[in-house]
Amino acid sequence: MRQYIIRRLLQVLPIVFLVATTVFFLFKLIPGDPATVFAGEQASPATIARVRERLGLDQPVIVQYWRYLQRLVKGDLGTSFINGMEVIDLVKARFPNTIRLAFISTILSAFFGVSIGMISALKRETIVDYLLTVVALLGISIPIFWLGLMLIYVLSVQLSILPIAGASSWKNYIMPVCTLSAVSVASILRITRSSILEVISEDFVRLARAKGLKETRVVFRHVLPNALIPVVTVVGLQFGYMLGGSIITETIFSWPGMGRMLVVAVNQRDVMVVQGVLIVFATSFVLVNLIVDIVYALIDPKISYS
Amino acid sequence: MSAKRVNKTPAAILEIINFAKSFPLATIGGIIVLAFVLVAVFAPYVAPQDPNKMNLENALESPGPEFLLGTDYSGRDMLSRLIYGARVSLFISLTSVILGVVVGVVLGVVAAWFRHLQTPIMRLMDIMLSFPSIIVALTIIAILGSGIQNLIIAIAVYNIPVFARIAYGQTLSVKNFTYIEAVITLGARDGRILLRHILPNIIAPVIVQFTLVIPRAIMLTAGLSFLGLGVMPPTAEWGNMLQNSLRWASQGPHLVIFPGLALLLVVFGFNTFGDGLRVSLDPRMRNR
Repeated sequence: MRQYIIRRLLQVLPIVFLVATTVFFLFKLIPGDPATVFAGEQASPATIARVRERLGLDQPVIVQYWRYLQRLVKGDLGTSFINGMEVIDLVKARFPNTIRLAFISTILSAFFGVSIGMISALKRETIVDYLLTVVALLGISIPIFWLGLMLIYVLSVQLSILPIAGASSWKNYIMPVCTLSAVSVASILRITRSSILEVISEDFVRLARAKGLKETRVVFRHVLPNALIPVVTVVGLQFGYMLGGSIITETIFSWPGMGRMLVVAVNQRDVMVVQGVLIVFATSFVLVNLIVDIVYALIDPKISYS
Repeated sequence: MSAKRVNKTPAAILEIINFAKSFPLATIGGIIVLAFVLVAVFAPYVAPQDPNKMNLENALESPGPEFLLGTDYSGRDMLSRLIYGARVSLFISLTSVILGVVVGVVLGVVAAWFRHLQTPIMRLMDIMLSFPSIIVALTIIAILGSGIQNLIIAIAVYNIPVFARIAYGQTLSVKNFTYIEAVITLGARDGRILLRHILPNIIAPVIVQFTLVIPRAIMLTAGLSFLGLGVMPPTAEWGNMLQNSLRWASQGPHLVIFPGLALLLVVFGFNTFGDGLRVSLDPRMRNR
């Protein structure tokens, strides 16, 4: 098992390296001169030349790439073209907010998704199951930015019971968490239902029933532990996808996180911030996927470590 | 020949009736999709007004007999803008997904057929697939800038690995069939085998995936336009209509409600229809 974890950890490094390389060269394709953006449109040619030299943009691309990798290893993501701040400091200030939002949303989605999915499976082909199936499909189909706007309209504008923006109190979490969780609850519900239905027809469940065990014991001791194995993967992946979903959610609720920072940076064409945020996001996804793989290997005895 | 035709039509209708009986929700989804497609195609004929015609005297009218879904802050007819918005959304998502299908299927088939290309192509696809669609799309837009053309490229790039994976898996299983061995023995060239014998046999799961990916593309189009990185006003698009109506939500809630409902409905239609299609083509899923 230890070897498996070490091997998977080692696989992360080339992926992060590939992502960093791709991001660097892709951003070299952007038309326009980054030195002019940094110095400002009104700057004199001499100032622009000085900025170009200071940013190392006067060097050949391969030299720039080597320096970029050296900086990256030291945790230096460069300087914002717009406000001159270190990108790593901007990330440090906002990343915890994004992670907190994604974490709370994942926990709640897992709880509600598994509970409702279980009810749907156990009440299979009844009116309850049909209703929950339609609700799940609606949940998957709902545009999260619209859901966010509707929540703001009803709970903040009409009823004035929740604050529209910010992250200062627990009340600020309610609407962003609901918005971010909606799609995940629906996805987890569907996979839980499907997984339980698969397990419930297995011989060992029939045997448990034949032994005269109570239905609740059959479900909680025999069905759920086996049915939840694929659900763990989906929950883990949902956490990764919530980091992506945070881009829209944070923008709607003016949440001081990385997603909103990325949108603002793309609009302002602040290349260094965009590059930095993408690398941090990419590394987070890869790490989340790695943790999911390891947890999956730990809980599923059928997974081979070789 | 004519006798054959006579028999063929009822069989097709019978198949549709059987599908409708077995998958009622998917049939409703299919009808919703068809309705949206028809409205989008015939937008100039069904839209009651010019979607960009402003009239400040009619600004923020509530839904009523004159303007069925009300008007926006510039007095433009909401129903007409929604109809033209359907056109833009469906055009962008269909074009981008078709682009993604073409490139993805070619890459997947090539990776499976020419073993030395398998690792570089499929590892790259795996890396691309491991990131959420919006991150991939935002990266492309950060490089190319906003606008319809760049939005299509951004969504297509995200879809390439989805179809490459399916085409790769299908080609690997089809290439071991005896008839492919027979064609190889007869001396057929690689290009001919791939086009004439592999492609037609891997297309069914690609079509199913196509219907499942379209709603994601519609959502991504609207999401990016909502963020101000996709379709720009005055072009009517559901995402930018929502974005522009934010300030006026308290005076005219219909500005926020209807574009979102349209999105929800079309995505729901595609999801249920795609789900039904997937289950009907995969008997293993029928009992779930």
